[in-house]
Amino acid sequence: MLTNNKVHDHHECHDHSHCGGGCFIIPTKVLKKFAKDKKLSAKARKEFADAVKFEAQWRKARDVRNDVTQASQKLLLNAAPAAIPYPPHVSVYNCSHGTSLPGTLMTNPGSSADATCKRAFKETTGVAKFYKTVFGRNSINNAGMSLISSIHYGVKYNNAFWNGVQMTYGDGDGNIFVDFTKGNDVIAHELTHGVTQYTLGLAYSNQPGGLNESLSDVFGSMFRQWEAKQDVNHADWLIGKNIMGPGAIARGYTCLRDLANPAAAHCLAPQITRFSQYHDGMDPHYSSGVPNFAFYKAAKAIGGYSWKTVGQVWYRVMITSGHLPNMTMKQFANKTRIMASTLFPLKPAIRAAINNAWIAVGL
Amino acid sequence: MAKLHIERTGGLAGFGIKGSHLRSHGEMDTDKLSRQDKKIVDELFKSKGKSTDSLTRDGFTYKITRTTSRGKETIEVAEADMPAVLTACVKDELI
Repeated sequence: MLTNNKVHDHHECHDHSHCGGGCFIIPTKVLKKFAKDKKLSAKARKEFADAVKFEAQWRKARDVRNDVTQASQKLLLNAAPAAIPYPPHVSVYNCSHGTSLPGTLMTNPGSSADATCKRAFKETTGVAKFYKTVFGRNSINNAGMSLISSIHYGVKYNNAFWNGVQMTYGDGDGNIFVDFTKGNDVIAHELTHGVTQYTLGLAYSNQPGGLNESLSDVFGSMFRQWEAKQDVNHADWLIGKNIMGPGAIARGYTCLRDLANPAAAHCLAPQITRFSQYHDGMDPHYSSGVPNFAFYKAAKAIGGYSWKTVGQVWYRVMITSGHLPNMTMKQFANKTRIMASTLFPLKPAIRAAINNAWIAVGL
Repeated sequence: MAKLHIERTGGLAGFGIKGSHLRSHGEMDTDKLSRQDKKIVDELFKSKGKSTDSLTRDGFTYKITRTTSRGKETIEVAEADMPAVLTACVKDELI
């Protein structure tokens, strides 16, 4: 049910273990004020008072979630791989055009009559397989974390997001965008935000924000290439090609972003291509053009399958650098230079290609 | 009465960011809001719209500008903190 009142929404979401930041939260001081507001009915005041109690619990849960994310990485280094389940459990929930998360659990999502459900299940399972097969990673946290997706979020909702716990997909408005689950790169992009959360833990503004977005685009594109068995010359390097709606296509837009040409006119949201264009305060989807372009340039120079060479370098930097929420683009670039030599000591051309790619974008 | 101008930015597609061909905005008169929603909006302005959610990625951000007799005031609000009635008045468009 589509709710039209955030307080109502707040009370509708009973299973907050799944909703993460997705359910609506009113600032506590607002709730407290309403709870004492004699202009409101006694019933309404009680509801606000109850919400204050819940709010405190929710904030504690969120803080615990943040701590667990960071602590789990340390613990997982010592975990016995055999004890960790694989493949991870994949579940799909239906929001039925409402905005309460996670929604209603879909049974047998892999054989659902709902094409969106079936696709979300299939591609999420595919991304899990990609991470396991190509990088040896078991799910988002490398410990078999269940992969939760919610579909049919909102009404004509033109977005997909990761909320710290799960993926969520809108149906699109049918004009600018179509169903966001139609983009396998979109699904890998969102899931990779989870991987970044459990590895580098990058912040979401300034340079780490741009890196954060870039990692999701890079792994989203690699997943698309891996599924299609495309080498670097056959890949289109586009992000969001399959979610473009007829209205956008008619205007000549073919994608959200293009790793091969981040500033191209066919992108709905063109990006910067050189670090000299960067300044603090940029949206991460804009500044991510710099590391996106570097990844593309390195992959093209090396040739073959991106996930076998430059993708391995990027991934190893993600998982071996520890929790670095304020990592700069220069720091990331330098770590890939070192990692290329470590991973491919007998192939100096790989290190040279990565070095040249970063230099080309001004890093 | 005050007029609220709401702009939706960010998201996976980069609505409203520099160079983007996507824009999303809407308007709402405060006298069309319920008493509860009016209070929520007032409190958002008082608290400067501070976000409660740090782990969401690709979520939308809303810029709410309120025009009153005292002038214009703008706050940024995370999607999770927005009253549904305000998000519903925002329309996406290609520019």
